[in-house]
Amino acid sequence: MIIGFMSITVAFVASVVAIVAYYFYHRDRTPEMLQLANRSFYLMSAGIIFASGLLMYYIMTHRFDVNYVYSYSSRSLSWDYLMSTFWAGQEGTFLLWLFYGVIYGIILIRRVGKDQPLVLVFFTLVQAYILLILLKKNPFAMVWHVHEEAPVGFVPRDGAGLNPLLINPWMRVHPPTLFLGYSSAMVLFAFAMAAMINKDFHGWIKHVRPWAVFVAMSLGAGIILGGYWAYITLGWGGYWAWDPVENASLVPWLLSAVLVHGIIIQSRIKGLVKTNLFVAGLTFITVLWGSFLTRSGVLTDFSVHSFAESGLNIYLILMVLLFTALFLFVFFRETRGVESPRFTDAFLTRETLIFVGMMTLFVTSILVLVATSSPIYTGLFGNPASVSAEYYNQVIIPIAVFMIVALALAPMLGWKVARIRDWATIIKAAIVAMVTTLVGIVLGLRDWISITLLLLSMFAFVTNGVFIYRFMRKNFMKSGAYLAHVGLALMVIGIVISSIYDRSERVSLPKGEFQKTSLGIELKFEGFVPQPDGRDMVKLIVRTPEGEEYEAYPLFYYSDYNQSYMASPDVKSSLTKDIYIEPFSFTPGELLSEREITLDQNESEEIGDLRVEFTRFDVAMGSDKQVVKAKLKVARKENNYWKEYEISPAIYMQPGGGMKREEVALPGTDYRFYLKSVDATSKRIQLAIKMGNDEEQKDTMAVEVREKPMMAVLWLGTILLIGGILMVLVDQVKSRRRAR
Amino acid sequence: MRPKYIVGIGIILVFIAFAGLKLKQSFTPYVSLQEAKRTGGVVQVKGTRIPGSERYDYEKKVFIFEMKDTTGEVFKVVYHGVKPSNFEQAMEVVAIGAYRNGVFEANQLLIKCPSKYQAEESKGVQS
Repeated sequence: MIIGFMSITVAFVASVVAIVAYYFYHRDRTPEMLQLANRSFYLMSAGIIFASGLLMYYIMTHRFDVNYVYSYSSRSLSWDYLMSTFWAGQEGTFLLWLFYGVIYGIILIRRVGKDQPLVLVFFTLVQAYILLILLKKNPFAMVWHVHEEAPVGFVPRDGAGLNPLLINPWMRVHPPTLFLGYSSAMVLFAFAMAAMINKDFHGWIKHVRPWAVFVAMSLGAGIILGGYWAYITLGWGGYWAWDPVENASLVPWLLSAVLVHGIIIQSRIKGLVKTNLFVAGLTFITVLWGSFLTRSGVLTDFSVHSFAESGLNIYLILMVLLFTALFLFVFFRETRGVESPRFTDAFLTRETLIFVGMMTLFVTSILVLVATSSPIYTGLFGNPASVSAEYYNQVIIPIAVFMIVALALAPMLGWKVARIRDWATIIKAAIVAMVTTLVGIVLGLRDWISITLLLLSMFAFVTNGVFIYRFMRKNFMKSGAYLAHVGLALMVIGIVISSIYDRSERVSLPKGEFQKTSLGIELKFEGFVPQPDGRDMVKLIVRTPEGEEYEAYPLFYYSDYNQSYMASPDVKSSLTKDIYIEPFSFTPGELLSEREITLDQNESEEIGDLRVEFTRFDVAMGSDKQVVKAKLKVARKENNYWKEYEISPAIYMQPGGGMKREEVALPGTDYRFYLKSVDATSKRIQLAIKMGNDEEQKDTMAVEVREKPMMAVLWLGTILLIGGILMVLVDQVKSRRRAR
Repeated sequence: MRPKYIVGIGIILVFIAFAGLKLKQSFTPYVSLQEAKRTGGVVQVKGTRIPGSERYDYEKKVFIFEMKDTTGEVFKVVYHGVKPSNFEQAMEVVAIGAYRNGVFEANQLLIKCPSKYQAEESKGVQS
C-alpha cells in the first residue's frame, strides 16, 4: 500500500531533519532550532505511529493483498493472535522497535531535550537507520511485489497463517517484551555518546541509571517469558538451548546488568568511569549484533529459529559496523586521559565484590558472544563450525561459583574499608546453607557441582533475605536489589538441580492399560479429546509414585501449517518437582496391521503372501435395506503353491443412510477382509485387509515422561528477580521526582 | 601492581585459557560424510532424507533413518531421541554427531522445512 510506504518515507525524512536540527541546536542553542528539531521528531513519530496503526488495521481487516498480512495471518485467528501477527515477521519487529523508540524519544525530549540535545541526535540516528531498512524491506509490499506468479491486484482468499507453535498465550507477550528491551538499549547508547562528547563523565550516570535498570528488566522479562514458553510448548523438557537466537538476547541482557552495577559503583565512589561508558555502548552494539546474526540468514544452518536470508545482509552488517566504529571512535578520542579513582587495596570491600559480580556477567557475555559468532569467523578459515551446548554448560559453572560468592558476601561488607558488618548473619546463613545442603545430600544429591552451588546459593539466599526482612519493617520498596538477588540464588538452585537430576523415559501406551515406567510413574492412555481449533488433546491418567492420580492433557495434532504432527507437553508442577509428559508418536490400532487396496473388476493384486482378485458384485435389494457383496478370489501361498478361497465381504446400506460393514475372515488365517467403499458404476471396490489378531490392534500413544526436580524454585526465582528489578526502577523514578 | 589486581587478573587468565581450550574442543564444523568418517569427531552433516527409510526402534529408543549428504553419499543415521515433529516435510536435515561403527550417531537434528508459502524462508522446530 502506497500510503503506508509514504508514511515511512515521511518518517525517515523527518528523522534526518531532526538529527540535523538537534545538532545545530546543540551548537548554537537557538530556541527556533530546538522547536524545528522537536517538531521533526514528532512528525517522525506520527509517521511511525501511523504506519504501525495501518499495519495493525490491515491485519485486523484481513487485507491479504498486503504481503505481510498474507504471510503471517489467516481468517481463523482470533483477534488477540491477529495482534501477535504484527511481530511475526522481520518488518513488523522493526516497526515495533521504532514504535517503542517513539515512546522513549518523547520521554527523552521532555527530560533532556533542552539541555542535552546530543542525546537526541544519537537516538534519532538509530531510529533513522531502522527506517531506512524499512524503506528497503517495505512492510506494506503487496503480494504481487513479492510473489512473481501473483497478478497485479490479486487478493488471496485467506492468509498462510501463523505458525501454531506461536499460538500460545505466552507468545503474545514474549516478543513485545523483548523488543521493549532491545529498543531501549538505544537510549543507553545515546546517553553514553552525548556524555563523552560533552565530557560529562559523571552527570550522565544520574540520567541513564533508570534506563539501564529498565533495559535489564525488560530484556530479562522477555528472555524468561521465552524460556517459559519453550518449556511448556516445545516439549523437549528444557527452557534454554543456547541457540544463537536465544544467545543474541542474553548477551545484551548480561551487559545491561553489568552497567546497572557499574553505575552503582560510580555513583558511590566515582570509579569505573570509562568502564560504564564502554559497557553502555557495548550493550547497544550487541543488540545490533544480535539483529544481524538472527535476521541476516548467516545462521540459518545453525539455528532452529532464526529468520532466513532476507536480502538485508548488507544493511544489517553496515548497521553493526557503522555504529561500532562511531562509538569506538568517540570513545577513544574523548575518554583519553580520563582517570577513575582506584579501588582501595582491601579485598573484602563492597565495591570489590560488586566488581567481581560484574566481571562474572561481563565474562559470560563475552564468551557467549564469541562462541555464538563462531560460524562467522571459523567460516573464514574453512568449514564453518558452531559450538555445541555443552561448551556453554561447562564454562558457565566456574563463573556461577564466583558470581554466587560475590552475591552472598557483598551485602555483608562496607564500602571502601574492609569491614564485615554483620558476623551474626554470616554465621546464621552458613548454618542454614549447610543444613539445607545436608538435607539435599540425604535426599540424593551426589555430584559436587550441585552440592557446591546449592551450598553457596543458600548462603546468598539467606544473607540477602535478611536484608529484605529488615527493609520490610522500614521501607520495603528499597529492598528491590536484595529481592532480585534472592531470586537469582533460587534460579541457580533450580537450574542446577533440575538439569542434573532430570530423568526421563519413553514409553508406548496401548489404549486403556496402565504402563509402569522406571520413574515409578504409571500412565494410561485414554484417547483423544478433539478441540474445536483442531489442536486435539490427549487424555492420559497418571499415577505418581506417591499414589496420587491425575488427568494429563498434552496436545497432539496434525498441523496444516507445518504439514506434520505437532505435540505440546502436559506439565504438572509441584514445589519439589515437575512431571512433564510429551506425546511423540501415535499409532492408530486399525492401521497397525491394516492394508488397503483398490480393485477394478477382474483385476488382481498381490499383497504380502496373498493374491486378491475381485470378480463381481452381488447386489441384493430388499424393501428396507440393500446389500452389496463383492465376490473375491483370494489365493494364499502355502509351501510354494497357491491355495484358493472364495469369500464375499458385504456392505449393508441401511434405510437411514447408514452403512454396516461385514468382516469376513480368510479360513484358517488371521486375515480379515472388509469393504471400505464400493462404486457400482465403475465397478470398483476399496478393500481393507486386517492382519493379526485384535489384541495387537489397540491405538497406541508413545510418550516421553520426565521428572524435573526444583523447576518451581527456578520459576519462583525468575519472578523475584524481575519483580526486584521492577522495584528498583520504581524506587529510582520516585526518588528522581522527589529530587526535582 | 597491587595484590588484588594480580589475583584478579590471574583468575581471569586461567579462566580464559580454560574457556579457549573448551571452545576449541566444542567446534562442530559442517563437513561432508567422507570427512566425518575420516575425523571421527563431532561434526554437522547436511543433506536430504531418504523418504520411507525412517523407523523408530522402541527397544533401543532410537530413531533411525537414511540420508544423503551434499556429495550424494547415502548413510544411516541413528538419532538418540524422538523423531522431530516435522521430519516428513524436511527439505534439508542437519545431523550433528559423530560417525561410529558404520552409522552416523546423531545427538541433535536440525530440520529445515519449507515454510509453505515462502520459498526463501525456512522454519524449523527442535524436538
